[in-house]
Amino acid sequence: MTDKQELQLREKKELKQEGEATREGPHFRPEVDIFEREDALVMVADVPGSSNEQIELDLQDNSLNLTATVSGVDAKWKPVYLEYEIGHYIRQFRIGQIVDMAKISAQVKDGVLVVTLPKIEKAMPRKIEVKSEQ
Amino acid sequence: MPYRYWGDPITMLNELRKRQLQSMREAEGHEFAGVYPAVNIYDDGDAFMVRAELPGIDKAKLDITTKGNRLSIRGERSCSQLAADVAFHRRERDMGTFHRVVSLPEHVDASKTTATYKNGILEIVCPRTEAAKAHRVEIA
Repeated sequence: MTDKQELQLREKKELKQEGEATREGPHFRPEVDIFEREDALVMVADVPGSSNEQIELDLQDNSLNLTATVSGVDAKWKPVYLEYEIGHYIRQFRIGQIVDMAKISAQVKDGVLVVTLPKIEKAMPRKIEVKSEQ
Repeated sequence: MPYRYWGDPITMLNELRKRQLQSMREAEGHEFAGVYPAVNIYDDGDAFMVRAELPGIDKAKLDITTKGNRLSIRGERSCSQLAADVAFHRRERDMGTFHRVVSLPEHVDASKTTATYKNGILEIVCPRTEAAKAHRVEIA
């Protein structure tokens, strides 16, 4: 993969609200990468505008719920031209059996949330030593 | 317009908001719309503020210049968390370079332009030039 391609603009994906909204403003589905390392699954989500105290990760049974609250622009700034909407981020993930729920950790930097989901011991690849009989 | 067309009031408000955004875009006639990153432009009377959502950008690689009423933002988004041999389950985030030129409604003072990058949001505040401010007539 080349790293130098020109970035293309993508519209933010707005979520249709089901039921009553508890917070004001639109909600979007953040873009995520999920990849697998030998010892863990790693999820990277773009949540621009959200700081660590505004991000909630909530684990219920086998589902991980991500909610990131975003504050709007100071009221003194009057919009003259808008290309995107500012809103919160919501996304839900199903977690498989291989993840050690107790050890999930997360950190956020520059609007990028990284969640590390360590695998349980038995799901880790293991090399089996072959002993020779002397 | 028939009432039923809109459905419930929330849908109606959302629809109105979208139409308003759309007509604002069309009225401005921005030739650069559709280029990454999307920008919002705000005004507080003295300065314009250009706001872009740029999560995970290397601040050192951001290059912001202004000239006249034009603001240029150039940068790169790369993926630092990646080791060489990972298996992807899902890949939605894009990486790469970008260059965007934004036309502001009035000329701005390049020497007083400031930018902040926090929580993945780039905010560039461009004060109007003294000449641009002088155009406004105060009514006593």
